[in-house]
Amino acid sequence: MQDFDYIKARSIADASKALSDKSINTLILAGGTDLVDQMRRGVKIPDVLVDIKSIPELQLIQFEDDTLVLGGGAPLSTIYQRKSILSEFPGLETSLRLIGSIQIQNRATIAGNIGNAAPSADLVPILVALESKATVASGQTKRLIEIEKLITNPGVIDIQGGELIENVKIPVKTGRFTNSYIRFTPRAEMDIAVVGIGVSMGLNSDSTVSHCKIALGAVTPKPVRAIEAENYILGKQLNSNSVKEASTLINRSAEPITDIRASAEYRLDLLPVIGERAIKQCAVNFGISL
Amino acid sequence: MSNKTYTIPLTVNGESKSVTIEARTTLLSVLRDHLELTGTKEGCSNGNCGACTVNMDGYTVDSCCVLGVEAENSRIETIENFGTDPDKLHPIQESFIRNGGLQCGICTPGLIISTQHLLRNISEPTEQEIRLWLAGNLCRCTGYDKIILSVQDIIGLDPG
Ligand SMILES: Cc1cc2nc3c(=O)[nH]c(=O)nc-3n(C[C@H](O)[C@H](O)[C@H](O)COP(=O)(O)OP(=O)(O)OC[C@H]3O[C@@H](n4cnc5c(N)ncnc54)[C@H](O)[C@@H]3O)c2cc1C
Repeated sequence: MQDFDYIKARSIADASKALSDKSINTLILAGGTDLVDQMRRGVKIPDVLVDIKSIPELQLIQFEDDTLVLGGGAPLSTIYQRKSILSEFPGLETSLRLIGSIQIQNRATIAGNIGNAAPSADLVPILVALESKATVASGQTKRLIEIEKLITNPGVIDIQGGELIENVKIPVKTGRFTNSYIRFTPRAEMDIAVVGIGVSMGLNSDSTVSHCKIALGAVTPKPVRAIEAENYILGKQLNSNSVKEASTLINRSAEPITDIRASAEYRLDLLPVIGERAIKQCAVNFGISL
Repeated sequence: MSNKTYTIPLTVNGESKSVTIEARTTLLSVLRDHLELTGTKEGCSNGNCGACTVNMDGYTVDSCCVLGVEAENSRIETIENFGTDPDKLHPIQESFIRNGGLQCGICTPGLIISTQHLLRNISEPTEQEIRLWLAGNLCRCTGYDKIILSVQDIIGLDPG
């Protein structure tokens, strides 16, 4: 690994200042579970690393009114240790616990999962389905941006020099709402998604679908929602026919590629299967058996 | 390319230490090369195999993916914190020996650190929980069954 300078930022202003110098390659270090290996392989060669884990705001995990705020630099295991989060967001819990191993979850962060912008990132589909926004902060400014707009290409996010992801804000819905995340991997543990699907769903009192957001992972270069599938199921009774039909429509939003993990054809075969499982998991959460 | 060095104070197995390192030096290298604690092993070097697992401030981490500079003022526990005298081993070590939970031994330091972390968090883990909490520690010898047995055999004992 080539050597670099290391800065432990104590405030957003601190980090922002260090990240503003455009004459050198300055990168943000969170848990390092993506970045350190990329540096070791020479894929990333920073002049300076700015460690953001000692910035207090980035460690916050709390409910603010009707929003869950997850600090960008908090280790994933400190998020799923909060029982109040798990009851609202079972799909988020599933995705957090799927990432790597306990050792990885003790280090990896939400901002790092978004910042690395891998199409297979497990937190992204569920965050998109939950209509989450990232707070992108610099020393002076803060802006809120939807996760699917923040990630623009594989490995690329839309932040400027001097900016960092401070937190992710997830709206908390009251009433009959639930969510799920299902991924397919050849191995049960320590594997990367071939297909991942996040679903957020709401029901009316007559059990027709009042709200449905379906987001896809590992089958598009940047996060997308399966709008046609969502529109199909909205207003319908949640039953095995409507779920099956909606799942088939998911493929219209996917543009899978063939890579080392799976062929594009295989991914297209898998999508409706995983989609059906993810929607059915929401039904199970509602106490409906399909 | 930088030629700066950083002096990093940290506590390893209860003892205060200080190392002077380059920013690129991993925590794994701090332990093995600078502090000569070679019980922690290097395996894949990319966070998959868990051979380099240590406990950092109460959480297990792959020390190959952590920079030494990040460990400033942290409390590190390594396998040397367990028994080094064959006659006075830690109950987790004894259980692995008794149950054949190791053969070549390369993965064992990491597995013992992960086992302790598991038992500190879940005093009576199910088999499924044991498999999940040890999923980040690969073993190419045992086929895992005897590792699971080694953990199950000490449920109820103080993990330290
Ligand atoms: C063995 C192993 C297994 C893994 N398994 C999975 C898996 O199952 N699913 C999965 O999705 N991922 C997996 N990963 C990848 C990785 O752990 C996750 O992507 C993790 O969330 C990255 O977080 P980090 O804090 O370690 O990021 P880092 O490595 O610190 O950073 C990643 C990128 O994000 C940028 N970044 C970090 N913080 C910010 C910020 N606050 N603002 C802006 N940019 C920022 C960095 O500059 C860098 O480009 C695995 C990795 C390993 C080593």
